[in-house]
Amino acid sequence: MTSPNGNGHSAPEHVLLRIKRQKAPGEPPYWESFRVPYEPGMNVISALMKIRLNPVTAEGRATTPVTWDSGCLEEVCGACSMRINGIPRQSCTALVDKLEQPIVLEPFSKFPVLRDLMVDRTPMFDALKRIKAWVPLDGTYALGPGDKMAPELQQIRYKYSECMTCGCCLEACPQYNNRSSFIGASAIGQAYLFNEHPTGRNLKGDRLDVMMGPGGVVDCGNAQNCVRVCPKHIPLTDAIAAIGGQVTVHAIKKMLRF
Amino acid sequence: MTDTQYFLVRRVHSLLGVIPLGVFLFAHMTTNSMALFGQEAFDHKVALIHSLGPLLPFVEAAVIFIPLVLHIIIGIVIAHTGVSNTSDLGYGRNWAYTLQRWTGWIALAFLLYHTITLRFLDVAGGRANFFPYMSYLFRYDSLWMFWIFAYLAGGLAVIYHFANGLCTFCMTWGITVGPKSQRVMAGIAAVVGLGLVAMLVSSIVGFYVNAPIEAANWQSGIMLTGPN
Ligand code: SF4
Ligand code: SF4
Ligand code: FES
Repeated sequence: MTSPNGNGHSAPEHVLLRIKRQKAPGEPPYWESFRVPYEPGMNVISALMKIRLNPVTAEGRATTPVTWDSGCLEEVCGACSMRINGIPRQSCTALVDKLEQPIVLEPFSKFPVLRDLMVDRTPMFDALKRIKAWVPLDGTYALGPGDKMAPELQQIRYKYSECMTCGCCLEACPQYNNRSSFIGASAIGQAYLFNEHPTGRNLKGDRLDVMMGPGGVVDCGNAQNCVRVCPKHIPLTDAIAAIGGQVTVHAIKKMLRF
Repeated sequence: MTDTQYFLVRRVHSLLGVIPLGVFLFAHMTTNSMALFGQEAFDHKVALIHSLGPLLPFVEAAVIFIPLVLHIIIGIVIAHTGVSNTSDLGYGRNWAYTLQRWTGWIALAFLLYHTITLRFLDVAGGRANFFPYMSYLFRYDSLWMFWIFAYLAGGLAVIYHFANGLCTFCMTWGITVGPKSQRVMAGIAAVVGLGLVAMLVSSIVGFYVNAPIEAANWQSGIMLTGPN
């Protein structure tokens, strides 16, 4: 089933997808296969759009369109993240030409499924609240300009600021699961980002309290999957080690001041 | 549990693996490797340890037994919080993570058998005569291949667990922060691990090659009545 395309190479006429579906939260999952017409340069989202146009399984049975989440379509919002051939990544930048077929799509397994490929990533945002991932500026009067930041520090912090809370690092992490309360690599990266900020530093103690407790950085098992799958190439394991060091100092100080 | 207590439990587990357990592993493997130089060299080392006399049980408890039991208990709890996923994500460090847990279980089984037979059973009858006993197991017993295999497997599990533990220790404590320093540490740990493996293998060769005559007709009595 091949036909010549513009490059003189032969391109497939169809793309085969196997999708793990689920009707509603808590319902049992089930699998369906789809065959959609191929287009040069298509990605997983455009394949899903084709299913939406014609929701019929590969066996020719009419079904409901597959639900997924997306926003930016340029890998900056993280909403479209799912497991593609077992790897957690964004479906908007997963090019069909580079994927082995059938392309297996599964929702993230570490978050509650809302429907089909769409999950609820609220736990990640709760984690950001727990670690106070912000710069405290609220007050009753103008505080004036903040401290200057060295360009070197800006460079380091910039990488961490790229985190889009997509959840790939958590999906890949063997320590992030329903048996542990581990907060996960993204929150550790953000704790580092704000601990290194000249004003954000004011909440460092609060963040490190979370990091040294149950579910904090101490629960990391150093498998380093997070850094391998992070689509933004954020040096998460650097942050984990750095926060590990900060926590050590913080804990010793705490123990000496009682 | 407060945050500080939880932190302490996790860090105690991490620290105990290196000090004293890692240090003890080195001392123990040095003693074992002396078997390569014959029974006298080996017995000399053992006698050195036993020269602590009545202090020995206390040193053992403080340096080996209590740290080991703590490390094991916390380790089992930690192992329970992980769900390994190497089938989807077969990255090197992910395998290292999974192997760290597997070798932990293997080491636990090995050390249970090892301490019960060679440490606690010998308490009853005084001092064990280890050398002929090991020679008998490794050379003359009908299950000799199994004993060598078990000793090797148990030893390798402990050594891997220690060497990889050295790497994760440095990450956990924030000593090696970047990927480069972590790679250098992995190299150092590999050299340390291979050194220990060399000691492990030389002890097997030693017990086999330098087998004393009485090892061939070893019966249960000999183990309990060693040289004075
Ligand atoms: S290093 Fe491993 S255990 Fe730690 S956060 Fe990353 S994936 Fe999880
Ligand atoms: S750290 Fe990377 S993988 Fe994790 S949520 Fe942020 S962008 Fe996604
Ligand atoms: S849609 Fe925003 S990252 Fe894919």
